[in-house]
Amino acid sequence: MLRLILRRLWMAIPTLFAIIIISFLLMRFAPGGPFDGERPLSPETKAALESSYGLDKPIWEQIMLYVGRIVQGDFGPSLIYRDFTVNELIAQGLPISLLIGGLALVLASVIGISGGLIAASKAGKAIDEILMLLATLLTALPTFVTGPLLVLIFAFTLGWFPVSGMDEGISWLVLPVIALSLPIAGAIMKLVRAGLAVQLSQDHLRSAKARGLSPVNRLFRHALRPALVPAASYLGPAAAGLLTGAVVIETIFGLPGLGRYFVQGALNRDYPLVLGVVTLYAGLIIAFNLLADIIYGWLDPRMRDS
Amino acid sequence: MIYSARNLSIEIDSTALVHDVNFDIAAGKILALAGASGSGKTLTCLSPFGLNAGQASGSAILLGQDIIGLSEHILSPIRARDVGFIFQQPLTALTPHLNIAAHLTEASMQAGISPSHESLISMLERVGLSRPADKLRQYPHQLSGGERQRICIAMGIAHNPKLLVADEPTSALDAELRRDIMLLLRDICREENMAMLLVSHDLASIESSADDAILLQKGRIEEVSPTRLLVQKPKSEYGARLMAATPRMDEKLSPSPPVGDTLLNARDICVNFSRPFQFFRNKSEDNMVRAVRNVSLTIAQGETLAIVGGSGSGKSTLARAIAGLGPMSEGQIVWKDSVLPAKRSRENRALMQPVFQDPIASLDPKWRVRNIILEPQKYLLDDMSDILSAEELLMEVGLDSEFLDRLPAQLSGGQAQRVAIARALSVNPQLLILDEATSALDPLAAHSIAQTLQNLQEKRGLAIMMVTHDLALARRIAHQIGVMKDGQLVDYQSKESLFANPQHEATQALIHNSH
Repeated sequence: MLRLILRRLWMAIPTLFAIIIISFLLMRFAPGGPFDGERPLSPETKAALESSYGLDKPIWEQIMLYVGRIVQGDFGPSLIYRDFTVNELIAQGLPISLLIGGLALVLASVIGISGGLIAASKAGKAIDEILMLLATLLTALPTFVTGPLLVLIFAFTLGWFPVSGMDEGISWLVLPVIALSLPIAGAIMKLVRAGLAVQLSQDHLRSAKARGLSPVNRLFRHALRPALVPAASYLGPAAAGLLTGAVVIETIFGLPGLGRYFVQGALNRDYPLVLGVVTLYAGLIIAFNLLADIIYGWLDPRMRDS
Repeated sequence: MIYSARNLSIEIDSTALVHDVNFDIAAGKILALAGASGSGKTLTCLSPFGLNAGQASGSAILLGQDIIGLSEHILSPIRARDVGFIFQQPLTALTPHLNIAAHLTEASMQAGISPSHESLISMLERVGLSRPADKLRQYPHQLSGGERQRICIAMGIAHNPKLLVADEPTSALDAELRRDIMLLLRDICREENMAMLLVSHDLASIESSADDAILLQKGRIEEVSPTRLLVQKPKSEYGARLMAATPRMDEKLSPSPPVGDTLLNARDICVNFSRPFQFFRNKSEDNMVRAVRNVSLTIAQGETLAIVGGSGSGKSTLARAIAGLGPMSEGQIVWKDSVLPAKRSRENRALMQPVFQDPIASLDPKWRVRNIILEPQKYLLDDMSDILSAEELLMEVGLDSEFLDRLPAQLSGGQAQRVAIARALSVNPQLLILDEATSALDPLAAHSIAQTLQNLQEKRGLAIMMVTHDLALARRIAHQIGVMKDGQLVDYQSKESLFANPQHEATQALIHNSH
């Protein structure tokens, strides 16, 4: 198991480098630049600005310099938010994004696993059909629909939660976290339901029944853990979904998280900011995939040895 | 009597599948339920206990109480207290994420006993497992099939049940293990004075363990006899047919038909697999699994070569390497006078065709028989002048044109295997490679497929390489027999000389453990 983790970490290095270099090139090939504003700068000013940020150097040299800095943990200065380095911007935005994303993942797991459990134990009955319909609906509805809808109902009409922004207390968290978690909850519910359906027809469940175990005991002790394997493998894609979802959610709810910096950075061609966020996202997704592997090993001991 | 059935009938979805079965089992006795697949033996054994979809009627009296019609919450504690169960598949009967100690503890808890570490160890010793303290910490997948079945037995008897119900407890194991496990079950029953209801499709393998046997056909009792008598002198016509179809080691050796020129010559075949997930890969010896080691063999026109051996001996890997379907690390395969390339051409593939063990799984469930059979022709043959039609191919394997539009799900196991053979024959191959092609079938179906193959061999001069764990079957139909152990072909001679003079101790052990 340790060997697998080391191997994955080792593989993460070239993956990250490839992502950095591809994003770097993609950004540069996109038309426009950080200093093309509404009011064009004079050519001399622009040239001076570009040379001060090293943008006039050949592109390969820029990549080398950039990668060299990243290795030391420095993502460079932001080209738009002139008084901040990218590290500072990330340090500001990341805690909010992590808080929302982490809570959304927990909520999605709770809803997904319990929904899947209920559906599987009532397989074929009305409650199963309803839950599965709900799960399809949740996965199909994008966050930019559910987000405003939640705001309309629970903030504007009922007035239970703030419409946007950060507040004292935790009430400002409720709506964004719910909106972000719903599609993932739907996917997890379907995966858990399907995983349990496979497990419940297995021989070892019949053996457990023969030993006189109650249905609840069989479900939790013998079926649930192996049934969670497909859901665990969804953890990587779920992380990606949370991060992209966060971009939309933070914009809708006006929260100063990473997602907003990402969108703003991309629109303004703030190369270091976008690359910094991309690198961070890539690292997070790789970390989540590794986490999924570790969870596999816990869920199913066969994975530890293979 | 511990357990009796009176007019026990079982239906699924209002289709009656078992009719008026009666039997009694006394303490310390073993009663076998035997019969071909679909004869209703597993239903008879498990349905009264609510462990499959069958609806039982009549009565099943366990320790004086009729258990038919009891609701699950009343039946469940009775089942847990008085009955132990052992199922066919030791590979899947254990929960993968619980270790052996957890399994045994759970099994003991059904009688309300929380076992000590010492008693767990003695449970494992009871079923003949070595290093019990280590085993307790291990997970099911870390044990071999035989070890797992011993664990299942230990669990089945952990709560000292009065009745042990064993559904094909040995049929997933190889010959040597079958014998050991059956003897273990017999000894346990006698020593603990437990009654045992044993289901087996293989009468010969339980001959020396079960006291009495019931032969079922289509859900009805054909014959009830002491097991030894049923095996050796069956009274019923069905019993006689079944026993004649079952290959036995003590039957007369029939002379092998003559063979033609050598077709295939395999020289020094090696198949190595590198162990998975090595952080630093290297090709040194200890990082390789040497599945097949330096095997050389020849197959002639009209000849049947049987490769026998226990599970994990490398026999299937060898067959796949020869068929060009699996990897081959070293060696050379010569067809007539030319060396076959590592990457087989279409013409090469048409020369030899495989047939696999699980007939249903090897047919695409969405395809009709007609398309299944003709598929290889489409991809492997250029010259379509000399080929057989789908009807003719079905006739060759003993089916008729009525099957052309069926789906695999509408075929019995035997019929599906015939379709798989027809598919293999569709490109006029000269060699058929059969990997346990009859071992998933009941004796009657297996026997008639073996006969079909022999007829095809006679008619077409077909060469056959068959991989099997069943030495008695090889003895019945092969010309040459090769015995594999740990990847090596340790014995390789004509069947006459092999049985007259087994060279290797693996051969001797195999002969000893076969029946």
